[in-house]
This record gives sequence, structure tokens and C-alpha cells, in this order.
Amino acid sequence: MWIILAESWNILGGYAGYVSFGHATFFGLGAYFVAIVLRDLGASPFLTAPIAGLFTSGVAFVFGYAVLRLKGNYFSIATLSLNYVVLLLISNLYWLTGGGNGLSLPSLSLGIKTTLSVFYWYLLAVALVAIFVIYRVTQSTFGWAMLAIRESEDAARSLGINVDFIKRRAYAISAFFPGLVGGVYAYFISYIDPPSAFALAFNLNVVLMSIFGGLGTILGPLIGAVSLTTVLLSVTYVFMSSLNLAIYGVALIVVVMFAPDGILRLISRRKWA
Amino acid sequence: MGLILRIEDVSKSFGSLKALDSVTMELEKGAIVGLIGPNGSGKTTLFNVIAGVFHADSGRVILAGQDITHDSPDKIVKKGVARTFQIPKPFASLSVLQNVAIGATYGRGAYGDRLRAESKAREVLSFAGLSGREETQANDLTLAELRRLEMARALATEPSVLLLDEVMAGLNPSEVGKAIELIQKTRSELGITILVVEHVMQAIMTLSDSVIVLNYGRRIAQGTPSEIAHNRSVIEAYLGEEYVVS
Repeated sequence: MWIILAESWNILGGYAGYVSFGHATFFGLGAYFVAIVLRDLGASPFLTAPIAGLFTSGVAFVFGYAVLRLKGNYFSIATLSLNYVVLLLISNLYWLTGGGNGLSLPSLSLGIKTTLSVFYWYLLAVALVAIFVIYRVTQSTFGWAMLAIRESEDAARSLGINVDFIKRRAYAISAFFPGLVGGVYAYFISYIDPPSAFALAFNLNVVLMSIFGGLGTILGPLIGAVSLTTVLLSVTYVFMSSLNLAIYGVALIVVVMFAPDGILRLISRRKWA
Repeated sequence: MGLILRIEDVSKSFGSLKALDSVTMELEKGAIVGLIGPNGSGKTTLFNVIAGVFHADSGRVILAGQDITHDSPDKIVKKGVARTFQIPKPFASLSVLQNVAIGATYGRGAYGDRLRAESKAREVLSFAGLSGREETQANDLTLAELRRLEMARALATEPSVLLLDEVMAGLNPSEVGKAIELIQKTRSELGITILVVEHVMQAIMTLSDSVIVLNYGRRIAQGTPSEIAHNRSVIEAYLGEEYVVS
């Protein structure tokens, strides 16, 4: 799950250079989308999750019109506040979302083991698709345009790149996957409420994983997601749960100090330099 | 020959500052026209208005008979106007080849796939004298090379009009010589019309068929380089009234 999220965040953050704290927004929206459709229409989340992805993509494309006018930290802050706006909206639309009480969903009646493996394989498949799609996107001329925008928007414009449109498209692609994963996650946990669906810590995780592994690469977020999740889980098992955040922080500081371009660059530099 | 670009009575203000005050000028196809004037006289603003970065408050910009006054910068590039920046704006962490290939992909030539864009880029790089530097990161270029890269990138978009904003600033005399050669070659071999903003007077005088002088956003003179060199109001603008000798 984290692989998918980190990879998709990296499209906008790593390639186009727009650091978004809005991945949780799309995750939460996807979760609610699937939950509501399941409650009212009884449709299987595995089918509606990709539709939730399209829904969040569309939302991003529209949001993008406004927030992508901002650059750098201002953009990050705008996405952060957008998250709270949506959180408040969801909390207050009782008739639709159950408000602060959240929504309980029927879970799969397959026994814990089967259920776990169903979700595991489904998400693994999505992760592979995500990596493939993102690889294709970044190898295309569209990927070039994003890099150009990251380096200099003025220059990109002066070479005929429709900067605003490319950014919105990148944002939309980036938002597809958290919407999908959010939908699946809601079904897995079988209960969602606004604070857990739109958690701030969640955003930080996604950003940190990408930075940890290496921005603007395919392998980077993958390595970041796998290694950080492993570290987190093992620490949680061995010690008590609150220590994991401390170790997490130390790991990040070490990486930023000694390999500001991420672990991946460090490895590849050792090999070829 | 015929006209390629016509600026018609263009004005542009920033707050109370009139950066351009009803400027009119014409570019003949295949000409090299110099645009000079003291700092803050509106040269770069005029470039930005032509390139669509700013839109004129009044007046029109006409490219080959087509009104482009209100087009966005990317559309104007696709219609055939390319520009360089006074302070180079390379895609710093990308290779020289990628820098130029991006221009080929999204410019007027619209080279859709990577391979064709890259071969176009190699061609342009060798034209601009940057062969052998393809794989270098743009960050690592010297200033003279960076300015060549700016030009190569603009040329890769296959423009019919090229706007050069101080491509010689900060170069040494031999580098200036090479830059002049490149600009002349761009006209003679590619048939591109060029508007040059430059403070290096020797370059302007050698290059230009005609020179236009701006001061405080107004066009104060136009003529051949030697006419301009002896023009009373031009000397006044640059050196002050007391230096005018008849």
C-alpha cells in the first residue's frame, strides 16, 4: 500500500517539483467514496475502488486549477489546508457520511487469513500496475515536460510547454492511486471516520518515504516505502509503539545529512563514481 | 521580403510606471534588428509582450498577419516565436541534450517521440557549437556555453522569429566574436528573423541591419547602425545632454 502511495506522490512531488501534503485528502475521499457506494448500492469495493480513483483524479484536476498557481512552500500549505477543508466538510455532512461517528462497513466473511491474502494480492497487483504506469509516464515526453517544469517554469513555457495543463494532469494522475488505495483500505479496516481517513501523519509518511528513497526516480519511493515500513513494523514489535516515531525521525535525519538525494542516489553513486 | 512581425502601438504599464509607451516597430523577414536603450527603457518588457509573458494593455502584436497579442506563451512558441532569457534559465539538473530535446518536442516542430526529438537536438547542438557536450549536466556549463544552450534550445523549437535577450553579457571578446558568428549563421543558414537586445555595442553595430532605440518606454530613434551612432537624441539618452556635440 505504501509503495503505491509513495510512487504516485512522486509523480507530482519528485518529477514536477510540487510537494503536496494532499495525498491524505485523496485517500480519505476514496475511502468515503467506496464506503458510501457500498452502503447505498452494495457494490463490491474491489470494483468501485478504481472508480474512486477516477473520482479523486477529477477532484485533483479541478483543485489543481486553483492550488497549482502557488509555488514551493505556498503550494504545500495550500494542499494542507485543503485537507482540513475536506475533513471538515466530511465531518459535517451527516446525512451522507455519518459525520464524526464515521461509517461501519460489512467486512469480507472469508476468515481472517483469506481476507488478508485477498487484500495483499489485490494491492500488490495495483502496486505493479502503478509502477508500470508511472514508469511509462516518466519515460514519455510528458515526463520531460514535468522535469522541465521542476527546473524552470519560465523556460518550460518559453519552449512551448503548456505549463498549467501539464501540472494539472500530473496532479490528477498522482491523485488517482491514493483514491483507489483509500477505497480498498476502508473496506479492509471496515470502519472509517474523518480523523483516521484524513490523517496528517499519513501525508508525512508518504513524503518521507519518497525523500528517503530518492525523489524523481522510480525505484526511490519503492525502496523508501519498503524499508521504512519494515523499520516501523519491526520496531513496533520489539519495543513499544511510541518509540518507532523516534527511530523514524533519526533515520530520516541520517538520510538527509548523508544522502540528501535519497538512498538510491547514494548506492548508484558508489557503484559508478 | 515582406513583414514577419509587426508591433502596433503597444503600451504596457506596471502600476503607475509606463514600461512601454505606444511603441510601433516592424521586422522584415530575414532581418537582424538591434534593440538598444538604457537600463529600464523597456527592452525586456517588449520581449515579454511579444512572447506572451505579459499582455499589452493596448495595441497589437501581429505575427505573419496573425494577431498574437492575447495568446499564451506556449501558443506563441508553437506559432514560431522563440526567445532566450537575459539571465540563463537552463533545466539545471538535466543533460544538455535533454534541455534541447524538450524544445524540439514542444516547439513548433513538435517532434512527438523521444528519438526524433533527440536527433533533432543533436543537429541543433552541433549547429550551435556544443557538440560533445550532449551528456553534460547543464549545471556544469560555462557562462558562454550556457548562453549557447539558451540559443540552441530556442532554435530547437524551429522558430521563424528569434528574440535574443543579451546573449553576450558577461562574455569575453573572443566569445563575443563566436556569438556574433552564430547569430549571423542563424540568419544565413536557417533564414530566421532575429531581434537582438544587447549592451555590447560593437556586436549590435556589426550584426544589425537596423537599430531601434528605446528610452523610457518610447521609441526615440530608428535607423542603420551608423545613423544611430550619430543620432543626437540617442547620445542624449545614453550620456546626457551636455555631451551632445554638433
